[in-house]
Amino acid sequence: MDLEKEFGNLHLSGSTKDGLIDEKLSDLVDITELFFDLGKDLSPQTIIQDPGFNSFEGTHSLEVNNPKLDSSLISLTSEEERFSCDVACGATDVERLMYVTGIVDWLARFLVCWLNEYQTLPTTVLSCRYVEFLLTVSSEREELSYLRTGDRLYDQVLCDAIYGICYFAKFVQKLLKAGVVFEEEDLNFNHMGLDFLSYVEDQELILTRLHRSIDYIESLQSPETGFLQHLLKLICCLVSLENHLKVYSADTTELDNLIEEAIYLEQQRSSECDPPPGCFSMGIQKRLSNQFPPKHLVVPTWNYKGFVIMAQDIKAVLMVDKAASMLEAAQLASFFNKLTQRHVVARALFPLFFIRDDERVLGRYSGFDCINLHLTEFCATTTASTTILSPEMTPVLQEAMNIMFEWYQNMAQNTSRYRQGYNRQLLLWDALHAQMESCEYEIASQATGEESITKTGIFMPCSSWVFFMKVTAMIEYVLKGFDLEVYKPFEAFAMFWYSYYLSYQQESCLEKVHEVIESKINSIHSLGKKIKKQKNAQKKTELKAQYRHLMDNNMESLRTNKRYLSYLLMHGSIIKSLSLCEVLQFSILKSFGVIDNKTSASKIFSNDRLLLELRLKPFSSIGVPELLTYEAFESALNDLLITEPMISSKLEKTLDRISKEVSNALTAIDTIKKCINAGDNNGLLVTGTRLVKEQALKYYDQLHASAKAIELNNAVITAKLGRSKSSSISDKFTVRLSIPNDASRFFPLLELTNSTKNKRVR
Amino acid sequence: MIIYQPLINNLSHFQSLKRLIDADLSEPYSVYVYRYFLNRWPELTFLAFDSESETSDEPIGCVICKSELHRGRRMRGYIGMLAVQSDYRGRGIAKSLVKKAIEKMHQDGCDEIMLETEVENVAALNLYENMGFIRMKRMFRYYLNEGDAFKLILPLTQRSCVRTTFLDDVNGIDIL
Repeated sequence: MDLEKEFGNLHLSGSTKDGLIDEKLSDLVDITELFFDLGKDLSPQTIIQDPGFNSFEGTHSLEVNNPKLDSSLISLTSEEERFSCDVACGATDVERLMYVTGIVDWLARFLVCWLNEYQTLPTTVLSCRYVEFLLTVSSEREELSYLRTGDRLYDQVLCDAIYGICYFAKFVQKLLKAGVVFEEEDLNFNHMGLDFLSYVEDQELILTRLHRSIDYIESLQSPETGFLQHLLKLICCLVSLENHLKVYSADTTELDNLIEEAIYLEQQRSSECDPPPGCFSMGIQKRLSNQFPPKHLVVPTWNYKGFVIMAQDIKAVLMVDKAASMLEAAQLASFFNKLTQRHVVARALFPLFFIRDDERVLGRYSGFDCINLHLTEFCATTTASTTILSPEMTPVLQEAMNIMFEWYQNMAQNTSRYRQGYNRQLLLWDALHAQMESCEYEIASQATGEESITKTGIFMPCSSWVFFMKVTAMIEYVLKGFDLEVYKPFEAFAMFWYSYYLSYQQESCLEKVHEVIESKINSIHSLGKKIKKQKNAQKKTELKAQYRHLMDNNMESLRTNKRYLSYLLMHGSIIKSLSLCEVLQFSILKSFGVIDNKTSASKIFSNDRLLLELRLKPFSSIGVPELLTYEAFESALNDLLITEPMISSKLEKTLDRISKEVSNALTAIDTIKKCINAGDNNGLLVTGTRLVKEQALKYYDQLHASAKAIELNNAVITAKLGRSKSSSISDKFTVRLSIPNDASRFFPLLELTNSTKNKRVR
Repeated sequence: MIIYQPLINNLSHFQSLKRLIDADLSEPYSVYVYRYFLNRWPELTFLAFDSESETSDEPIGCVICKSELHRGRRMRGYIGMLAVQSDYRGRGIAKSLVKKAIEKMHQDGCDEIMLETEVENVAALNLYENMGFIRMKRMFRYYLNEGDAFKLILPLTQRSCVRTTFLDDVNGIDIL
């Protein structure tokens, strides 16, 4: 290649015999002129044509002499340049105390900037000269090294605090390396080539030294030491956090202490001390290996409440340890990160705490137990046990377990990745569904009893569960798009219609399972009647024993299943009703010409069919439920349009239907909320939300607000549009998707706005 | 009058293009990014010139693109950068540049055109969405400035609407 040939000419005449450059400055050869001279022969056209160099490489590449990309060009102040870690800053004891307090305070607040505000390590914690110095020196010796300024506050207290902070950072690094959250996106761990205490295994060592420093500060008996003492106590709590991963501790004592210390520090704004000038700088980006463009330091706000958020979110994760059933675990996973994105440490911890290193769930259940429980909690032991225990099912259940683990992991992802995770899962659930159905059908066909026969044919409980999970994933993927503002108003019809269609499919599946459970319950009850009628004493005794056995072993779980299925049906009915309301409001707006389901964009390159098919691409390969065609969407909307004659009465009918659906949704929401409040042992429904009661209630409150907003929107639409069509209306109004206060982001409102004032949507 | 030309045989404009784009983009791009696009796909970079300006040979706008086989299955055009000098904005120059680039990529057999843009960049979103692009996904904290991005796609053929896994490869052989 020309390029290689040209690079080949770029050799150094001054290099040493073994090819390495001597580190002594006097032996270095100035090649600047030679370099530029040889560079003249390079042809620009031959550069960057290597197939291995892609756009990712390009956008991550740095450039010498480009001030935006070359961190060696960073200019430091003279104080930053001259800053030495060998000297204790501060002329008096009090000044030195203030400086050390200031440094530790900044480092603590930088942790919040780093983790809560997604900043980088070099612009926060690593911008501290002491952190850089101590990590460098310690890693050379592979043991904790200390400053030697002659002042104990620096040489001991500051060092102990820094090692505590770095030990916590090491824990965060471990979470990141586990691959649950994404580097740069969720968390930046640009360590600048520094080793974050990989040689320190012993948490106790760090804690003991922190405690000795706390004792030392206490011994100073100075009122100015209070703030620093609390800072050190806060760091102790941070060091202890690794126990939730190391020994899977669900004990929240240290988290409660962390909250307490953070609240105390938050209130001590008046104790703020400045760190010594030059102590924090961009210097590390200039001095050490830097793969990123130069970035200015963050100015830390008074952000101690950030630790409270982290601790509370970790506590929410640890609640899963109290799950009394897989349903409760799954509901915790569903709700804990649903409405508000949780702290990155909590999100990273969740799957690792839930699925342990040995692949045991919460340390209690094997993967098989886990999937078995999921299945039986959905469709009862009596309906699924025979199938589950069949050897043919083992590989299928193994696959189900893998997908379920992925499902749990996805729940902790950031809000955007969450939707993408479902996109990937759709294929997995669909493949599993086909596999499960085939296997289960085979097993059911071989069964002699009437166990699995229903009015509509063979009942396949495990496949029903997979189908339910698949359709739930599809609905979640569709509606999450509204939350992320992925759809334009013209797409609202298709997405809500599809969500309605999926909810309908889901409802049919759940009704079938519900029916089977109910028939099981009824058959046990009918056994009681048979006993009464039975004249033969021996047969009567046998029947009584059978009845007792079924009542003792099956009835309770069947009743629980029934109540859980009732909850799922009721939840599904809310989604179905609200989706239908949105569809109907869209149809009214389209009938009046203020919105269309066709794009208003130029069609020179594409068309509406392609746009819809692209939008539905994630579902294009799904076997069941079958993807609706472009024509099916068109026909559905056409059927709903309000046309002449008798527009007014047709409009009234549509509005009535919306009100009825809203009313259905509100009734279902109220029932579910009552049952969440009453608990699973005291209500009509089993919701499994005991551990996430607050979040679940908030979720349903938001749906309630959406339903109310849709109802109100009926009145707004009719007030603005009137009850008869007019050609000028379409010029007056436009439609945007808006989220009313406290309403669900999954069901934005089709809001009519004045087109002259608001031409741009969103 | 605004004149549009492809970059091909006009590599002398490299520095002007870099200046034009560096002035606006939030992401600092190295020389290698420009070289990557311009050296490999010079025919997919289009420049706009003001023939009535005193510096009529200096581009006042540009779009920089590439096209590649995506996962071995689909030809994907990609709009990497688009910039118009601030005093020339609001005259439809960006739209014309993008249109020219898409036309070229379409002719070259692309199944779809893809790009990313900041969620907050309403002007860019309007421009692309008015040309038929739709938002496929949102990407959390995608840019160095910590902003989210939307990935936008304009489907040109039916192949754009099928999951890559289920597409025949470009030679017509289905691996499934």
